[in-house]
Amino acid sequence: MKAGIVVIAEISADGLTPASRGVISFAGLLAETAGEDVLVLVPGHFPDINQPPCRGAGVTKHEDPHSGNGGLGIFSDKVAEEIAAATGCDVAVLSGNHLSAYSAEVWMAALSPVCGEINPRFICIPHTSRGWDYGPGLAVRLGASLIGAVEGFRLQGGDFFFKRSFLKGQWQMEVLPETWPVVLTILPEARGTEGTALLAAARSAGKRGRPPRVSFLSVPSAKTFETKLLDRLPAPETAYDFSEAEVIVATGKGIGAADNIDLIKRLAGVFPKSAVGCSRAVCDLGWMEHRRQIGMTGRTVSPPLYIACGISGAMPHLAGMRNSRCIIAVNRDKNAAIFQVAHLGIVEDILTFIPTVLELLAGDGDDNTIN
Amino acid sequence: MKILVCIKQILAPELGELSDRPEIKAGDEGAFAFTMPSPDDNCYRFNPFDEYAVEEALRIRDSLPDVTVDALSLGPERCRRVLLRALEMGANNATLLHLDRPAPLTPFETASILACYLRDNAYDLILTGVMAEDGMNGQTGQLIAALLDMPCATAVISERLLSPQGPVYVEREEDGGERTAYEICLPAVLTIQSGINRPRYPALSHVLRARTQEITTLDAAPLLPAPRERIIGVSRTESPATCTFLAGTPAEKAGQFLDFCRQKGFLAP
Repeated sequence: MKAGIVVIAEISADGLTPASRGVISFAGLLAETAGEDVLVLVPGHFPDINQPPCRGAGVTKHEDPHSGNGGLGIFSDKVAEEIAAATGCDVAVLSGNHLSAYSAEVWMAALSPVCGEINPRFICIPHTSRGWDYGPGLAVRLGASLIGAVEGFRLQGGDFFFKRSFLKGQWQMEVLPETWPVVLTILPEARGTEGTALLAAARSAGKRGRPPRVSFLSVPSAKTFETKLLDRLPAPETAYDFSEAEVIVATGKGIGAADNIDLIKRLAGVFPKSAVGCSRAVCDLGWMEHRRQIGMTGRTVSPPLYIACGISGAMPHLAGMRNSRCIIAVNRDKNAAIFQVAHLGIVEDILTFIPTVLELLAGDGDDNTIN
Repeated sequence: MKILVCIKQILAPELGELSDRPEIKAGDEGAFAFTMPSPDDNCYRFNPFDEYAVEEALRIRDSLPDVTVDALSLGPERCRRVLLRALEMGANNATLLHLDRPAPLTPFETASILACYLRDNAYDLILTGVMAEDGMNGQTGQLIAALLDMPCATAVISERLLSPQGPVYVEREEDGGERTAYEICLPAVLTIQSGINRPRYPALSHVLRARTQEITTLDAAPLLPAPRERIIGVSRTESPATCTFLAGTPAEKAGQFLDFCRQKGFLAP
């Protein structure tokens, strides 16, 4: 197996996860620019494959706490062929009983010898709670450079510069790998992940002049792992149902105090079908219940209208709301990253702006607070 | 049992005024480096994610006998402020790995220095915040663990240590708020997710005691590794043209906001 670009994909029972599709698409763009081939590695447990029975030492004693869950679990080898057909990329399945259970340690142990042997220039991983978990350790094992939460790249004078955000998305940096390979964790909304470049991957496959290959590697569980998976638990509180809301009014730390949450509820009450949400910081401070959290570790929403009040717009929050059809942002900091995804921007302090809005409406009708 | 908490003093531009043009200059060994435009010392603060890590360590100490909690930070003199804060919260000892370099460290550089320190100073449990709020990398804990060949759990939202020998029971938070429970052998690295606890305010007795405590200082410059990646430039993120900013007085903006909502049919005309 040879390839200049390796994508490590996460799959669910439905095949590639959306984040993995995005990364393959990003890799396609990178492949066109760098003139390399893309190989998709798919770790998991594929029982159809003829492999010696190997019980993952120290791994789950449960039958399979993962089945039906996004990410890993047990898969049919048809999944691999579907990925190859859909992307035009060569696919290599890494299968082992112990890979039905995700832990960074197990994935790193399976992936690092394979990546080491392929010796690609780029290793592209989705920037998910898993990719971000095992990616750094994989880079250390490979002696690779590491760039996280990548949003885009450019080629100049033979060098690849990777772009990522910092300081709550208000600043961007360009990072140059100095050691090869480079492990990249790619944000779902990175430039190139929109799917157009999926065609690029297919085109570069076409140049190979043969259909994509699917290969299967049996990965033995050689050692005792120090991480033992016990169970998968649902999100602790039943998530709030945002799906009916036409308007979501969400707040961030800018609300300043728990007592001010009422303002957000009153603003939401202005709209007929509305709901109230918040950023992670607001939950951590105990100002709103965790089930109302919108973002990477909370709910992902895409209502017709999203009103972000006092939300800075750091990446984890944007991940949960950027696909809303219309976004209005109110923030007193004109540089807040939330304005990058907003359609309408209002640079004001929400603690004075919302009361002004409510006063203007006061003559129009009742004040319906949403709870 | 010995617990180490790695804490970072972060750049917090909202605490001061930063000009829009950072200074990009040649750094060590001819490579490019950048400095944020002369942020004064007041533009730095305790990484909020690390406060949860300090609190979690103190809670373990409260629940088990013979536990010491040490705080470690890497950076210039101003980082003493965060170490003092950790002592005020109740940490037993504090160490500064002193490094005065204008360019920010990459996670690999930070982790390599901390791992060097840890090779000479053994700990049973190493805690970090899930990420630093300024760099937003969320990699240092995993890198330390990999460099020391220790297991690591990231985004730990619940933790239980039943005996000082371990294993430690952890729940790590995944996308969508789902959790996975693991048992991990010690020594191990845990990166602590925000919201796991409510960090305490320092007690007056601890504040007074902390003033008399010495902060051990070691020179970290000899521990700096060869870089594997380099930050070559920074810029303000531009707001795309798709965002229309409302102009006028607050009342005028409020009126335009309501008009917009009515036009789009979200509010009755």
